[in-house]
Amino acid sequence: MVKISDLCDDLLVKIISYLPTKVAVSTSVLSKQWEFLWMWSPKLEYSDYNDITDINPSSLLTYHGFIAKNRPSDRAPIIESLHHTERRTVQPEVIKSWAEIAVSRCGRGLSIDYVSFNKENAIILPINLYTCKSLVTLKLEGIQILVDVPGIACLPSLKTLQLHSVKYSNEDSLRLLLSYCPLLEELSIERHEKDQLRAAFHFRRCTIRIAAGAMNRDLFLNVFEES
Amino acid sequence: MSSNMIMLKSSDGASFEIEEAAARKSKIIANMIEVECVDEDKAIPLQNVTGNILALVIEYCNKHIVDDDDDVATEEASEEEEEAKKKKVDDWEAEFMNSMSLETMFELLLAANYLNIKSLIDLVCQTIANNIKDKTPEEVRKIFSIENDFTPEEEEEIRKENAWAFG
Repeated sequence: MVKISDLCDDLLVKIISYLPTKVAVSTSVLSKQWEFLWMWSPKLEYSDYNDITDINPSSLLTYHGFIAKNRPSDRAPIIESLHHTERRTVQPEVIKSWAEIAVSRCGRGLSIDYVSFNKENAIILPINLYTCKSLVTLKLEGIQILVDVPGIACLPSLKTLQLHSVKYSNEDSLRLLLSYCPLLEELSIERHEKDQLRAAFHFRRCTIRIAAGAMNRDLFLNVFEES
Repeated sequence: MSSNMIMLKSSDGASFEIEEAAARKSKIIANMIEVECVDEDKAIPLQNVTGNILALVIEYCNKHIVDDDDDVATEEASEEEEEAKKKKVDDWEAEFMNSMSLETMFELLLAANYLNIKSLIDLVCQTIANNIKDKTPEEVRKIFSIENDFTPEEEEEIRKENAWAFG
């Protein structure tokens, strides 16, 4: 009779990659075979809002300690997606280091949704994020995330870009970021009132969908202007 | 489309005829066809796959080769049509997976892995994950007959380290 323990580790990791990260981590207790398998999962999604039900400071501390300690650094060969939604006390350096990992491990997706009550906690993303060849999806949300594009960006695989209420280092940042995204299909921007973009972008929210098909791209543009 | 038929032979000696286009879903078989080591009169022996599992693999491949052809024929299909078609495939896959036991799923996964059929590997892994998702580790151990080989102290230590995941 074939049992789950007859499957090779690669297949077990594949199964784990379809689990929410919290459940994936809990498989560590099943047996010795399973103990470290979740660490190889190419998809990790953390959200202190959803993951922690009791909000006493010590469980938060344990949670963020866990994230800082269990970075996917040398494990998953290719990262498909890293997703962080942090609303409490995680340090910006931790988020930055995760973004660095996503880039260095040929990440295909990076999603950061960050709100901190500490206004000093700015997240400056690694410079090579803006020239990452593998990135397909990039979603950033939160005024503490600083989009600081050093020169011309080059994101040759990017299909989905979402920038919601982020801060830009100067008025040209968005133009530079969009300078080379030949495969972009979906662009969604929501502006924060203090976001530094030049006055020429006088929309608050903008969604652009570009239908796939390289030769004949239909462009749908919806610009919502708010008074 | 070529309607070349090829023969596959399971480990327990059962022979199956399958369209070449469907068999090409398996990268291993596709490679064999490329390098022309498929003799038209001879069946390809698949030593690691039993007949009942091979029948499931073939059912899956046949279903999906039809879908792939549809894609080519209706390139201009509207978004709604695309969605309706995708739903049809999803429903078929749900029904297909629903009809088998966990043990069959593991065997099917091993076969899909051996034959290198990526979409089938994904489908089975996703289905097994759905069986794990809403259960406690104790329930998962029971359903999947996983033997807990930790000492109580070791288990306690892991639960402490990863405490948030058990909350």
